[in-house]
Amino acid sequence: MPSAVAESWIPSEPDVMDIEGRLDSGTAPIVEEDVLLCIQSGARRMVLDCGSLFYISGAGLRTILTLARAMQKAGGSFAVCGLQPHIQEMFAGCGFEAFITVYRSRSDALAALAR
Amino acid sequence: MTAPHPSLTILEEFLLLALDDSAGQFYPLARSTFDCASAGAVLMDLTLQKRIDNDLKHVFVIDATPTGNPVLDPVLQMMAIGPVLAPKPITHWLHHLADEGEGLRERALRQLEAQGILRREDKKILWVFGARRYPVLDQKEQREAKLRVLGVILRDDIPAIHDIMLVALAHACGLFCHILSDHELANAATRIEQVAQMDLIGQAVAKAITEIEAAIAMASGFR
Repeated sequence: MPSAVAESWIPSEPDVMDIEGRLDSGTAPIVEEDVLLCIQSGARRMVLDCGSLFYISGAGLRTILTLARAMQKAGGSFAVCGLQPHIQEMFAGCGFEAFITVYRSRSDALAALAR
Repeated sequence: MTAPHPSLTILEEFLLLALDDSAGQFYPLARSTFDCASAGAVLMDLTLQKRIDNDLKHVFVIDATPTGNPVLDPVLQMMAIGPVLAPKPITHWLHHLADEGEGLRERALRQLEAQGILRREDKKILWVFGARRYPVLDQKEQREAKLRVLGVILRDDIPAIHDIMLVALAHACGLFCHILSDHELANAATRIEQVAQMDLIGQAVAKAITEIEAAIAMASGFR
């Protein structure tokens, strides 16, 4: 079962969510609700760690875009990291990289967003 | 946090965008192009209603519960009949639904009529040829759809999903050359391309239309 786990809630640090398994119509609404709740609660730097994500559907892609849009409207920073090559290819094919910053690793993302 | 959801479906808004209000008729689009875009709009609507999902290869019915929309439900029912273990590619459904493109538009136009947004006007030209017009009664919805789409292509922020889909359809069937001036179109071309590629179904619609146009061009060349 895919999971989305908010790992850190230290206001000075970016929030990280691990997205594991599949991000599709079954799991995307859960992730969307969780991240929107974080943004509504004041999170302004958010990283989705997709290192263990192996499948993403259209619903999953739309969710990531919706979350990036929500963070942009809130004036914060949103990034994803650790994309598997086939998922990075889908990101690139949809032109998402023009709107969402993609980092190779979690540490790269955290370092960039901590600045 | 998300933007207010437009009350009209993608197909209804697409039809309003494709309607030249000054003439009460649709902008001149090839029938095959219009049919394919209408089919794509219905698939997009079903994804937004969380009834289907898709990846690069296939479309999956994830919930066959009727939406209550008379345009979408017969399509959903038809898609749900197929074997669950043999999901079909997006292009299969695009071509299949495009065959019913006129029927889909007809039902969506009736919905717009029922909502008091436009009316149907049948006339005879030279007492023989039928001509149908759709004068817009309530311009609010049409204006709102156009303004939203224009807003998306003139700004550089992340667009709402609904608007991405509309831009993808409008771009795939060449509507922007009717909606925008040449100067505006030239200035917005890069952004339109960028937004239009953001939806997988929109990409499939554009590809299908390009292939249909190429096939027609090739067939015409061999005559």
